[in-house]
Amino acid sequence: MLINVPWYFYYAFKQLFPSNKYISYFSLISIIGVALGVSLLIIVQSVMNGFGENIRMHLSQTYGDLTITSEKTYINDYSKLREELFEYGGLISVEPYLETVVMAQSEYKTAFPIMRGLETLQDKLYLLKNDKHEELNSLSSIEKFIIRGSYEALNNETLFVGELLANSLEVSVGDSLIVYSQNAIERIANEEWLFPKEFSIAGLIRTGSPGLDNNILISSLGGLQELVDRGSVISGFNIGLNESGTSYLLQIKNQLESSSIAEDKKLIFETWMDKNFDLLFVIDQEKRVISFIIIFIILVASFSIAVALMLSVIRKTKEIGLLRALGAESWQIAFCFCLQGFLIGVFGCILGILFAFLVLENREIIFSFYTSIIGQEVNFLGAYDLYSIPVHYLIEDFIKVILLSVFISFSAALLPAIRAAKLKPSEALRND
Amino acid sequence: MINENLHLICGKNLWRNFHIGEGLVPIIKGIDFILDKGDSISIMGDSGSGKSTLLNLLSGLDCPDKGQLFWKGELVSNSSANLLSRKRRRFIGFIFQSFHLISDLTVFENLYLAAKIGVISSLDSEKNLKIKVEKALSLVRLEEFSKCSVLSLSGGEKQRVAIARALINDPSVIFADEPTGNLDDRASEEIMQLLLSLVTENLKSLVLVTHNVKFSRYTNSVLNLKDGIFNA
Ligand SMILES: Nc1ncnc2c1ncn2[C@@H]1O[C@H](COP(=O)(O)OP(=O)(O)O)[C@@H](O)[C@H]1O
Ligand SMILES: [Mg+2]
Repeated sequence: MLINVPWYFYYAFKQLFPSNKYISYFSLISIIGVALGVSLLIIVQSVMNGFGENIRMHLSQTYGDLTITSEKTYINDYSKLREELFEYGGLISVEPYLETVVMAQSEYKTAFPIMRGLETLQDKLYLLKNDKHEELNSLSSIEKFIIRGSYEALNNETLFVGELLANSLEVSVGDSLIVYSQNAIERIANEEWLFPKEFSIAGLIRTGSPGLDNNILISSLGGLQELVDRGSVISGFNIGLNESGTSYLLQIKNQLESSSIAEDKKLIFETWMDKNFDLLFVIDQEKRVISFIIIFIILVASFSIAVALMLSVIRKTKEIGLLRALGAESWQIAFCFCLQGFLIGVFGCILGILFAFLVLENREIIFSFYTSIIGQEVNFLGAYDLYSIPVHYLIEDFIKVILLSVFISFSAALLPAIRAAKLKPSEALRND
Repeated sequence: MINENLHLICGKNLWRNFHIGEGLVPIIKGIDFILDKGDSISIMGDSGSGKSTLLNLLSGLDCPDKGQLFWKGELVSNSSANLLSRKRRRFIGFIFQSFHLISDLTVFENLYLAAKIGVISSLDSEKNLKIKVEKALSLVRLEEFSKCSVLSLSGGEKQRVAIARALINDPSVIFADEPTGNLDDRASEEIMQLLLSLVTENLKSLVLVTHNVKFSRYTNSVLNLKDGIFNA
């Protein structure tokens, strides 16, 4: 002890770490209890964050930052609207798309996937040539998901098929698909006839989310417009922003919503978060519920703190009497015990966080060890492109966990502390 | 009539009752007590006669049910326990029959803690505290035991640590409640000699509770406690 701290800090510290042993048995158990709770909280929260973050990243990549659709099914003369959006600041790409459910028939199988029409490379080049928007991304958002074939091959006669859908239709690149529009099916009921359209498969895509890969056809905008037979219509725009971050996204969304663009066309603005609200909500709730359950571990640990300190007050009654004889005031005695609870909380937190880091940073080794022990591969990995356990540290989680566990540890010490302070010096000294 | 202003410790008509069994039993029944600077007093009496109770009253560890207590002329019997604690730090040093050392601490740390509690202003630097401890250790010739756990000491050595602790904050008065009660004859003699020599050398006042007539003769006066009052 080099600094001139008051005696009660010194005494509290010495109670936890007596000179004749490294640490008192009771405080060790309490510290381990808190550390266990803290490390579990940190581990679970960080892994949950990791999964959440992974899914979020995935969703935002797959769905684009923001989509604009209309209350009506289709948007007509969209090029004017597109111009207006271009002039609006903050957008880096404005991609029109048309989307509808179709019936797709291969040689052997039939499916009812969603078909999405996007601009082809030719469309984009045309735009670039005739337009001032040279700074815009010329590439389509679909490009990064293509696992076979290339984007250049997309034209009015070709399409890309979701990997899983291709499997279930038993088709591959080069095969052809007969596609019936919804329209065509409706007209059959009216004994009219609209011919289906034959596409050849130019490639496969994989977004990583099974629901989508099982259910998607990508065609050119023109090709799908032809199939739908409503003229030059789109379902909406996929918007990319020039900055990432959810707060920026929400800001742009709000600005667009309240702008004049929204009014006349009855436009709907949806972020990827709006579209996946259910999923994100579930992830968030899960984290909350699991954390809540784990807090009970810390509560149990706090119980052990309370018991340890209460026992210590009883064991050290004479010692407390002696301290009073030496001149200690009752609040200082109480402070000693509160400080012990506090220190147990702090040391428990430090230990718990270190342990959590140790576990999280070596999770692959631990996980493979675990799978080798239970003797089977664990299958949950793979969905959403997760081939390892993701971890994402959130500083606010750490702060919350630390504050909570230190507060609980401190509170656990209150009762013993009050008891110690209430001891009458003469009676404490007499105690046998 | 007693003039409280002239004395270091002055108790007037002190009473103390305890709940024993069903009833309220008076243990101290109107005692007058005077201790002057440099004075030494032995208190003798049967076990259970109330000697420790009286010491507790005089040292402010316990409150009298009736009567007045003055320290250096100041009335303290109505003061709060915490105020008494603060005043006690540099006024009274204690030595107990059962040593009352803190077993988790070393010899040095026991003294250091007492010195730290005795700190009045922040002017007492860490260095000063350590010097105080070393000085106190040398008074009782325990320098080599500084780093030892108090659990490893013999009874006599423990009581020497306790004597050093009682002196460390340079109090005016030493209260020694049967300091040799747990020691064998040789150690008792040694401790008594050490205590008495330190008390005289450092001009302390001493209140000594003892069953040993020989030791009681070393003090200036002897009081006999019986049935809650002093026998002449
Ligand atoms: N806090 C207390 N509560 C109840 N009885 C007490 C208390 N303190 C002392 N006594 C009683 O008072 C009597 C005197 O005790 P004490 O002063 O310790 O005697 P001595 O020190 O002379 O041996 C004893 O009978 C003891 O049981
Ligand atoms: Mg006694």
